Amino acid sequence: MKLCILVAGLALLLAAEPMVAHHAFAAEFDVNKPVKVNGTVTKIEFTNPHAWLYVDVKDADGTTTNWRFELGAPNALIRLGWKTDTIKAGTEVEITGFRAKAGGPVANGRSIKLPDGRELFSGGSAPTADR
Amino acid sequence: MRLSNNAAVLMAMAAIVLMASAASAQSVNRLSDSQPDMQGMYTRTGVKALEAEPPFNPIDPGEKNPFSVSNREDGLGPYPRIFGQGGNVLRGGQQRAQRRVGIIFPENKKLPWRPEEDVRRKQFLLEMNPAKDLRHIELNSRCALPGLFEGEDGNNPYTFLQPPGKVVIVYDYNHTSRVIDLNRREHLGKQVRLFMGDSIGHWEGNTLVVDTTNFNGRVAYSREIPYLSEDLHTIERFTVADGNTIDYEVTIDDPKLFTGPWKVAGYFSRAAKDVESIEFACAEGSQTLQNIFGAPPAR
Repeated sequence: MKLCILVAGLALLLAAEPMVAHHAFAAEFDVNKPVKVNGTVTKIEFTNPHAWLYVDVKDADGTTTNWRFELGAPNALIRLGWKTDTIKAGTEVEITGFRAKAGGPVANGRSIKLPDGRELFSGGSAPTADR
Repeated sequence: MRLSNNAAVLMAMAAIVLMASAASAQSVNRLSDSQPDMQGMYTRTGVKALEAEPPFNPIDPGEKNPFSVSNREDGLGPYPRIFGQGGNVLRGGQQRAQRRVGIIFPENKKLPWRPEEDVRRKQFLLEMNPAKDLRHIELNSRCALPGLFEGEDGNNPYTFLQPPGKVVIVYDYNHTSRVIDLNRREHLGKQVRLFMGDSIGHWEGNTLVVDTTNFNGRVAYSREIPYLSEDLHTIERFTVADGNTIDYEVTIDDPKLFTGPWKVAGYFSRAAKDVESIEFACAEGSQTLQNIFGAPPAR
């Protein structure tokens, strides 16, 4: 069912027109610093203008770092089929994105893989080519 | 006989036009004071100032620019291209006839920049990535009010209210509201400067004409025109086309930046019934400054 909602949302998006994201991607994140982490979701905040996903990631030395990933606006996520409980705390995820210019465990989320293999897109700031 | 045939055709055409006008007039509901009813929640489409020859914009580069996310050799842009799409899925399912959108005057979409001002804004854009200073951080990212052509029209609806003597436009985006006074005929004194300007309006048939001045110059036109001047004067025309559509046109007169007026058009479509206006506490979810400059020092 959730997959159906997701597919329907994607179909609607494909039929729609370009939009402008809240902020320009390139000023804040570095497209040359892609990142992929595996970790455990600690919380998700459905806040405007961007939702944020927090993930505990175990480093090679055993320490745990809490990463935060910027997602799209709540309305964008809802249109993509997300709900506030789509990803619950404790869920193991693989998430890809691009790191913030200032560094640190902060990134703009691109896509998120769930344990059952589903991949969720983050609905975030759009590349300009489509504006 | 030939003449009478032509006359018959003309009469038939006139009748069709009259019937269409009547149907259009009938499709616009009216309030008790006879104003066209434009109340409700809408999404806005096409109200963008995308120039025919956009400047190089390093914070948001297009495909042909070297910084473009589309130019990564591994093909791994920040998002699948689908995320450049979106917009106005919030609106109801009604079909839209082709409407005028974007820059409609000049027709070639080349804005009448004062040459020195065009140079200045292009330099300003270059200094936005990396950001030269706080002033060169996009106003949107700093949670400023949306100005003329900013905001996320695909995500954030607009609500029109019509209390007596006023039209109020509530932007979902950034909790902005504009109160358009229908009784006042003169603008506030020049010492009063406002982010979204001072708006007075009147109805011309089904068109709400809104005259706005008294801008404070601290909002932007768009991502490519990252500021405006205090002398900006806009005339907006909101035409209630039917129960679900408001056509929109704005004339820009900003003599400090441009040698003459230019116009942008678009339209508002009634939002789908299940669309909600979600609290837009921008300071809560925007972490732009620390993502660029790093975390602030501990107090």
